[in-house]
Amino acid sequence: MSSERGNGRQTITRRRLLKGSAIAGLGVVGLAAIAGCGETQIVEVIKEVPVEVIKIETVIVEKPAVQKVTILDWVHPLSAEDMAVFQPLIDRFNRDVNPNIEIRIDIVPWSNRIQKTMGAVAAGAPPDTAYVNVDEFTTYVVQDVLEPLDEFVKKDNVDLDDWLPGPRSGMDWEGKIYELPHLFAFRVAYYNKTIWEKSGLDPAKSPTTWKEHTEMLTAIMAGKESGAHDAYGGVYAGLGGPVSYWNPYFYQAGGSLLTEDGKSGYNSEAGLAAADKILEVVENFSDPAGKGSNGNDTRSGFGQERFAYHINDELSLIRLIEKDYAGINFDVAETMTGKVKWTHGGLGCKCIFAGSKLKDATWEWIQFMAGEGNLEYNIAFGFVPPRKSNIAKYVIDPDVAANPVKIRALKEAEFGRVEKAPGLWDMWDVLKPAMQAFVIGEKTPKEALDEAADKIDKDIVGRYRGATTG
Amino acid sequence: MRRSQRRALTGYLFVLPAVLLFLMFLAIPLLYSAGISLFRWTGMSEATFVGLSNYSRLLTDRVFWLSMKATAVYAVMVIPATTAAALLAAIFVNQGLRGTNVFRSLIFIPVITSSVVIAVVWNFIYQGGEVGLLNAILRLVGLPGHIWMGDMLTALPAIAVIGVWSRFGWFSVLFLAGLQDIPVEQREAAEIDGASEWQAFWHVTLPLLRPTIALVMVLAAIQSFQVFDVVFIMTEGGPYYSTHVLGYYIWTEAFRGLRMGYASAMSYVLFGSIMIITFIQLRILRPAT
Repeated sequence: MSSERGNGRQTITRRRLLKGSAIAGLGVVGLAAIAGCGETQIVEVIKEVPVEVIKIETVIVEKPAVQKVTILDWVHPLSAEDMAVFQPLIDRFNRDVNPNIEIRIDIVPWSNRIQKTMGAVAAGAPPDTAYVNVDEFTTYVVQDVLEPLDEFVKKDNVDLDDWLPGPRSGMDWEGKIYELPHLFAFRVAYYNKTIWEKSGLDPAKSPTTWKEHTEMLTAIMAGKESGAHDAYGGVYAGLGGPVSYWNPYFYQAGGSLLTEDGKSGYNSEAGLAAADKILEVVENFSDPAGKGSNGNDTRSGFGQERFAYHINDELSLIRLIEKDYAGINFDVAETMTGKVKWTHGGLGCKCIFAGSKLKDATWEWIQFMAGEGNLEYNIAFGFVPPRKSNIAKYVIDPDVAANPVKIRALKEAEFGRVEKAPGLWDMWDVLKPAMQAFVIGEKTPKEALDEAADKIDKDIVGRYRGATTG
Repeated sequence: MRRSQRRALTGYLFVLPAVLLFLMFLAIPLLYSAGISLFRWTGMSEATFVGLSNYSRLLTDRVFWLSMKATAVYAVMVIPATTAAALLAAIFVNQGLRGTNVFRSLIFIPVITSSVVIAVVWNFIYQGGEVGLLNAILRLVGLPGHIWMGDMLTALPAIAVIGVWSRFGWFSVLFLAGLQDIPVEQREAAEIDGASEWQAFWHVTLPLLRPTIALVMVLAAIQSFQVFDVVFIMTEGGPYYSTHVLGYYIWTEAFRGLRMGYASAMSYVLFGSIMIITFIQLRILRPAT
């Protein structure tokens, strides 16, 4: 309340005094804060004044502050000690690129990354950038969660043709670039050369076509029956996912995730050919017990020589076999061609979230991760750089060069392709039961794939444009 | 402030943290999800009001009904089996025989074991072919092995066995408390009247355990309808929807399909189902007057 009295004079009450003190205090704190921001110079200015009156004034001149910023990068664990890889990279970034951008790395478990991203976006506080897989970015794009990178790419004249064909195709959606791939986790087929030899096959040759695949796996089963070895020809995990057991056959058969008129391609001619091929492997060449497997035992099964040909796995399998099953004579098989030579190409990419307030700084970091720091990052984590210029340096790294299986695998990198569409995971969740239905004989391949395609057309493909539920 | 007012204020302050936690983590999310069930929302985009269409869609969603069926069958297998196993274990422990403490610890181990570990261990037990432990035991007694998780007929019962195994230890503690609460005089009176052990159990112990049985069955029903983690780790709903329980379907719709509204609607149907079943159980098992 005011303390004016009738005579116009102001009297000071205790409350008024406290209020005034508080304002004054805040002012002092504010000035101190301003003075603390950036670098402040105190310049003594001597004005031209009559000699008899020399007046010295002190003027505070603000120099533009070089403010440090911190960007938040969400990554997912790729090793037991991820920060041991990131910290040197961050130090190098601060030394060579920009000392004023601090990088905060949050390691988010793989299992709940979507939930965490959704929660952060919904709360209006997304990270500035994150590790985004190629199979999830389009789902974010159609919801305007990611920032297009075209302006940044143009401004810095980034050579997009330096990326291998698969990674290059994983950058854009509907004509705009949204991510820079920095990790290429393409998959390859593996075969056991000892079992090959025991089955009378040339261990230097792996199948290049589906016909050769059938012939070679038939020879291996004959070897098993004759007692030459105890391995099955191939493998199939009945509860496993489409990426491992559907994609290679479907895309090698010339399949397309979506047809030209925007419908599911799963029940196309290529889909039915893939289903027939899967049934051939399940019924003739695989351990029947695999029908009840979720695929978690497949890698150890290959190491234990329970089967001879493994259709589709990441390069990390090389390290696992060498570490846990030393002495196994195995190699990377040639990528098979049906109508197309195709192997699954997983990508780890960096994007900028639309809600980021530090887009320029984030761009500097993700460009570094896809560029100068990329080689170091991939060597440390055991993945493959997605850029041609870095692959040339990668193969001469002593650890890589000393591993002939890995060098062999790199030849398949050019056939690694990506699949992308909004709701891709949702499509896999529909396809998976369909695959199970025809494998256990609950439905014919056509019935199962028609049912899956119908559900995808109705519930997924159309839902991002005017769906009425969900 | 009067003394009584001060006392009341102190009381309110004591309960305030609990009330705040209840509001923040239960009541508000519950109401919020009820609201979401009326919208189409991916969790990231703008939400669009769609009225009750998420609920009406459930009527024609074949996967939803397959999930409801799997959940109901699972519950029918798990509730009585868990209750019976827990009661037997409690009776055994209540005898005070030698080794009871060890047994009591053993049956409680699954309760405190992480569901991920449980799933991994049982995956090994159920593995088909030469590797699986169960098949190895069957072979020892001259029986053929089976692909337990690859067969639509056996996958869900196999999951149900895990459900019973991992929970009966906890319920046996409740039964044990119930058993120890029964006045000794009543059993002694029955014995004096010439009742056999079985008659005394059937006509004295069991009726007096009725409130505990009701509690155990209600809790077992609630947990059965919420089954998720073991399915998520072991089968992901397969083979061909045979283990596709509602909890798993809600999760896939929410976090893989990004259909938050639809998943919320399903959650409310699940909530309603649990309420109805609990009500029926309590009606049936209420103590006789």
